[in-house]
Amino acid sequence: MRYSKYNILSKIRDSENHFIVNLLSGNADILDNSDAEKLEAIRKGEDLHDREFLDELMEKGYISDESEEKREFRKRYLDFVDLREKDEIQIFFVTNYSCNFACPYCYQDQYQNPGNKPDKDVIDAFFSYVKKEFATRRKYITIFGGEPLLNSSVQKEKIAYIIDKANEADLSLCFVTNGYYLEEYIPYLLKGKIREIQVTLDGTGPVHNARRFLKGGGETFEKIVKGIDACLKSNIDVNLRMVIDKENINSLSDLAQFAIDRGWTKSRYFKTQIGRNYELHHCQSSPDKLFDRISLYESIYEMTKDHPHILDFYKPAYSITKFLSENRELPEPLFDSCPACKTEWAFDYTGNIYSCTATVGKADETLGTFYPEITRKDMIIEEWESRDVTTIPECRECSGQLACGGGCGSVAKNRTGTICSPDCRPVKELMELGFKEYFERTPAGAKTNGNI
Amino acid sequence: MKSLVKNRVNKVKVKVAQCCAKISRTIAGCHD
Repeated sequence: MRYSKYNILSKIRDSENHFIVNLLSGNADILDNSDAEKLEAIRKGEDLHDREFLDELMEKGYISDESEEKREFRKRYLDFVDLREKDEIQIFFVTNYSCNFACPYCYQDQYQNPGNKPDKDVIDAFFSYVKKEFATRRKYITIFGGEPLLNSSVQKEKIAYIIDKANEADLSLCFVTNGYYLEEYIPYLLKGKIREIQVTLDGTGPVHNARRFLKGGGETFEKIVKGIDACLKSNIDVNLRMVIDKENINSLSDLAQFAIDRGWTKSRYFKTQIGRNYELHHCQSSPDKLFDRISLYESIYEMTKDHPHILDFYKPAYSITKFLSENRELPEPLFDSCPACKTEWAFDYTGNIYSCTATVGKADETLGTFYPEITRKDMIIEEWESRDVTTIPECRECSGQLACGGGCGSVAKNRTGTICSPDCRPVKELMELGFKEYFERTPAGAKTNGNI
Repeated sequence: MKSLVKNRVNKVKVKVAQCCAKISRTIAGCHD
């Protein structure tokens, strides 16, 4: 019997206690200092003669037989692959890369925007490809840009056509939009089966307007707020995203209060997410204003001490801890956190196929075409499909692998040049914050809104 | 040790919980 390689053991932030999590056995415990010291001794291979303690560790899979653990890993891996093959696919369609905003941090700012006609042939070819290639899969479509909801008659005609085609195929739709013309699009959206609209606000008025302004200048906050109000009034689900860096993090508290005062957080049609501003494809002009993954959540953790109302607006996942507190069980082991070419594909109006939203539109990332003819780069597709913690060499001995899942394939490829390389998530550090937040500061099982 | 999972001993299959990918999967943010 030996200390399981899947144990994640650490000290809870601002606490005397420790935690241990094992996603393969599905157990999680809080330990006092003395038990943590005993576990640490076992990890180092020292003998321990506390039979009762050892029995409990064995029962919970924190110490285990190596070959038995390998069998369990394999079984759970096969279950994971099985489930993923039955999972719903998110299919992105980019109608254009042009945008009416000039956000300084946009990762698409260096994309080319080749001719953009409302070509019904391309839209027909897209729906025909989806029908044929994903015939047996549950699926939905997300319309993405650039900005898809632009206020021209040509664009409205294109969106109306896409909604008609989706209805014909009995597919639901999401839209990722800056929200500026949302109100104008409500009559169109009401004709479709709309699953969710993702809109971004980066703070309250002045902060948002300084970051997300119109090309040529012009405020956008008030108009987006009206669009969100209109969606919620029409029972259309809104997923509000706030993109955060060091310049606007202090506005999180104000935006949370704004959303609470506006009645949004009480709506069943409202949820939120935080997006970290980061360098996806190229360097930003002020990299020192960016958070890394853990420092963003450390800042939010500190802010919620003084501004607990933030948690009514947004509850951080802190890796698996929010899930654990709300469900009293761990999620299934995460053998792969990158959906590209498995449960996510992306297509654009030029007829190209890509792996996901991170790669869509990048000329060197195309995986084939669906228009004017169907082509596929099968070798590259297979490499994307194969990416998980079993094919990324660095993941194999990592204790956090089943909480991290290997991270984002596109970020990893940008960094190393290889798809099957890791993009490590700071899962242990996030759990240190989460165990404090959800098990010591806030009682476990406390209610949450629908945020991610 | 204080267990945080309900009615659980090792090797008991839990109901199919949403995996982390599902939890963290947002429309346009899964690459972070």
